[in-house]
Amino acid sequence: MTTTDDIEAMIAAMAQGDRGAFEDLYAATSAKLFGVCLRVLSNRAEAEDALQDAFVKIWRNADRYKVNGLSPMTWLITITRNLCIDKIRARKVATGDMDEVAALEDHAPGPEALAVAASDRARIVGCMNGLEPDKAVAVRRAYLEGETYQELADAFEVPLNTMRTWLRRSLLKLRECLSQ
Amino acid sequence: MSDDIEPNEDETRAAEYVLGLLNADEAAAFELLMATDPAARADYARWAEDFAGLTDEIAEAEPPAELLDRIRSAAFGTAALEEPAPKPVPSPPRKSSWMERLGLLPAMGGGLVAAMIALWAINVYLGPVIDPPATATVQLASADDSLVVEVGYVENSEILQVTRLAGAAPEGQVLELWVIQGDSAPVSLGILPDDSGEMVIADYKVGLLRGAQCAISVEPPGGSPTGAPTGDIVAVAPVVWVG
Repeated sequence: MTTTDDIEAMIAAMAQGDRGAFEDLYAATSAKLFGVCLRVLSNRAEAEDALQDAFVKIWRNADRYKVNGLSPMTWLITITRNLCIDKIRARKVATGDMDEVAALEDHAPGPEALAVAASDRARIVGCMNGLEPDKAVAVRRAYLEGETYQELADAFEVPLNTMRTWLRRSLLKLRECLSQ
Repeated sequence: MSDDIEPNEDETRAAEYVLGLLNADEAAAFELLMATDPAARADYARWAEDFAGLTDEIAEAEPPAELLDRIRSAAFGTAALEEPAPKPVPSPPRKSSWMERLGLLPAMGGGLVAAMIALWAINVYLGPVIDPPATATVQLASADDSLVVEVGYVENSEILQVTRLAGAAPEGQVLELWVIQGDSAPVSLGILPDDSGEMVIADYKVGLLRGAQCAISVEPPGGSPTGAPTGDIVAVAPVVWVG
């Protein structure tokens, strides 16, 4: 079991240029982060590129980790997720071609992959269940698919300002629930 | 009842920033706020932690084994083999940091410096919010001007802004953009959009744009199968930096 402290130690060693620590971090977290890439991008080739970009970024920015106030897994997930969202937004702008969704094979992690503690981050899942179902879907789509207010308004067939108000209310409800 | 009132925008700003729902100006304003306001930073960190929890529902997936090799060479580079412990590649030299110019650096406590650096570490959407970033342009034209493409880049971003002023790829083929550093082999920046648009380039390729040339080659659909230009090079031009 890789603990949060282990991951932090790996990132700290990477900041000193320790490539062994990079290999350890990759072994411990790449299956988790690749799962995120596949979920967000729904395209294997793009997911592989995104994972590559993410680990290069993590390597280069390891010396800045300690100051950002995030837990190590959240830092890794945030970098990865944001790179994926950038790719999604760029492909919408560049081509408008969304039909090239590769079939995703089932790649369950092997026994050598180390489980990473999920911590109590999962409480957001419970709080999301407290939202009206379509509001929860909108929040998920914003985080996991990078949809903008305009795209969400189009998808739910409501005016842009209505979507803004909906989502902001949902965020306030989420905060209330998460603070309990 | 909260449904009856308009939510106060300030209360949801951090969450909207984490989700990527703010426009560029709003996001820049929030980053500026975070640079000076510990409460805003804490709010950001709390939402980032909570939303990251949404990925707990996602099944893990082993990346293909060969990807690690690609990542190693992208992260460590080839020159790295001779150096036992290279530091991450430094950014190109800047005129002077905005913190220095404002005279803030010596006066600031470590905490604030750290917080400001943290913004750089976290942020992938925007570059620095005060120092105007350097920009680069490349004017690519074929010998007979039948193809004219302008490529713009803003420092610290990972986006190339492509403007197609004239021309198109030959029927059934694509145009691929390359960056060439001195005598090094061309590195692909991706396939040009059919018309004007944005291209996202990998983080590690951003540094290649300094002191480089760009080129356009004609390639089969999907781009060069070999990683090097395979068709005619139709245009070459230097990357011109301002700032």
